[in-house]
Amino acid sequence: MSRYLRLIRTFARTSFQAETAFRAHFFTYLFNTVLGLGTELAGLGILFSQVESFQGWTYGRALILLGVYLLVNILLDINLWISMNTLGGEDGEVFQGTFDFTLLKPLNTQFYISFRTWDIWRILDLPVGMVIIGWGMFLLDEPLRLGAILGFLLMLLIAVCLGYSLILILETCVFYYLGAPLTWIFSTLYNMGRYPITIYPDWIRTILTWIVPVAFMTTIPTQALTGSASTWMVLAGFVLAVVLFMFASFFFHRSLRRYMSASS
Amino acid sequence: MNLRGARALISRTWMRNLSGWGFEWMLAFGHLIETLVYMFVWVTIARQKSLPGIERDELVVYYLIMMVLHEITYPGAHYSIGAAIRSGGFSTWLLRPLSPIFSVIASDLADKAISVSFTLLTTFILGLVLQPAIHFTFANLLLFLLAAALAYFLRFLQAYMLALLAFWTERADAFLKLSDTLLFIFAGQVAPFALLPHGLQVIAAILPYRYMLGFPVEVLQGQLSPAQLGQGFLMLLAWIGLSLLAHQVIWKRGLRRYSAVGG
Repeated sequence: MSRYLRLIRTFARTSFQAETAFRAHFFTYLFNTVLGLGTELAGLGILFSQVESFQGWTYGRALILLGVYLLVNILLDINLWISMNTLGGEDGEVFQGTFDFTLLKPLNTQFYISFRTWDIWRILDLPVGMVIIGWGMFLLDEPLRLGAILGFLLMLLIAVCLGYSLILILETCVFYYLGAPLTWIFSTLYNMGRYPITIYPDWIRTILTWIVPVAFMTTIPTQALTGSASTWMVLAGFVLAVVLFMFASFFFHRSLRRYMSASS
Repeated sequence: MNLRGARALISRTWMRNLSGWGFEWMLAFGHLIETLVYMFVWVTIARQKSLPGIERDELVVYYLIMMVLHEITYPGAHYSIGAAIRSGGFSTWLLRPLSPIFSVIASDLADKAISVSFTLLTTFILGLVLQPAIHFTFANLLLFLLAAALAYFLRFLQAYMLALLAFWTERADAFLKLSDTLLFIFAGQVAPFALLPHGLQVIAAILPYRYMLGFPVEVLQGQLSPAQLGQGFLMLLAWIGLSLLAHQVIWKRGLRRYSAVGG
């Protein structure tokens, strides 16, 4: 266990050294963050110039949702997504055959592909997500209970676990389909989570709750923080996260057998 | 007969083609969802209170058409220009006895054949599910086709111009991204023009973005008075004229700076 923690630290250090060599990357990062945040805030601003609230979502609540949407995305991006990202696609290591080296590492393969790279710029985005949530809480002006915070932290953990499992499943498809990475499908569907899940028609809501559980990654964590999530939904999210994680790991290990090195 | 070999060859060829299509489909899916989210946002709000000058069915039709038009006009091929200029691959385009813009037009058309068919099919199914009442007049349809063609041209030209800034900077992609963002806010994607706050409406009426996407859809839905129609077409043409001029300047000066690899 401590060996794996030490390895994660080493991965972080090498990523940090590799990135800080290029100072211009900082400006690219800043540009993307400002542009992304500006777009989101403009969208909310325009929306709430027409209404005070919709379906019980006030501006404050919507801001918290936006913050959660950003935060979960950042938490996944920092380490997990960027690590798994190099598997798929036509310049990915499975297609190129460099996955050989990954397999040869004297480490658990799933551990290595999940934690090997860190996106240090995205760490700087963490406070952005948290400030948005804080600002929303301030506008909401409701007393914050300890139970709500604990529920929220648990939901964040569930959200990251769900996101990780979905990305791993889609990345693993590279052993069967060598086109563009299918994880794009996840990022597209995740985009739908920036607004409350209740705005969508029933059939889309069902898909986004139980098949690609985006609801458990944005709407329900937000409800947990504002104290309007039912206990059984949090429980359902927990069970779903465990099941999906186990399935993703099983699917990954099963699919490794299909790897036949370069030109496969 | 080597049936096993034949099967392997067929499945390999099939997978190779599919991976090309899959790329386009996933991009198109991304563009589609971006727009679709806002359809549901506004439909939800329209259920709660009546919005100025636009009803639920009109909103649904507005966004369905916008999804298709957004995909048709999306300047996806332009992202490869910067890479070509940086790597020196642009030299190959220059050697051809025709303007390099045709290299971009060619890959744009080839990509769109795949991606737009996906969007059309998906939009059609969404239309069947959501069942909005549709009524267009023939005259508006003709005007729409004209506006849409001009919009495609304007969006293509502006993106081409921005992509050519790669002659000066390695990060010209940032301009394309910025223009995507401005389009998202001002072109009627995040909200139809009529629903924007007044201050943004004033800006949106001046900037080119509305005329690349929202304006043609408004024309089709017959939401505009003859004066607004005329004004819109004038703005469209004015922006095309300006972009042509700017493109000339950027092209001439940029080409002088180009020095193949590392230029």
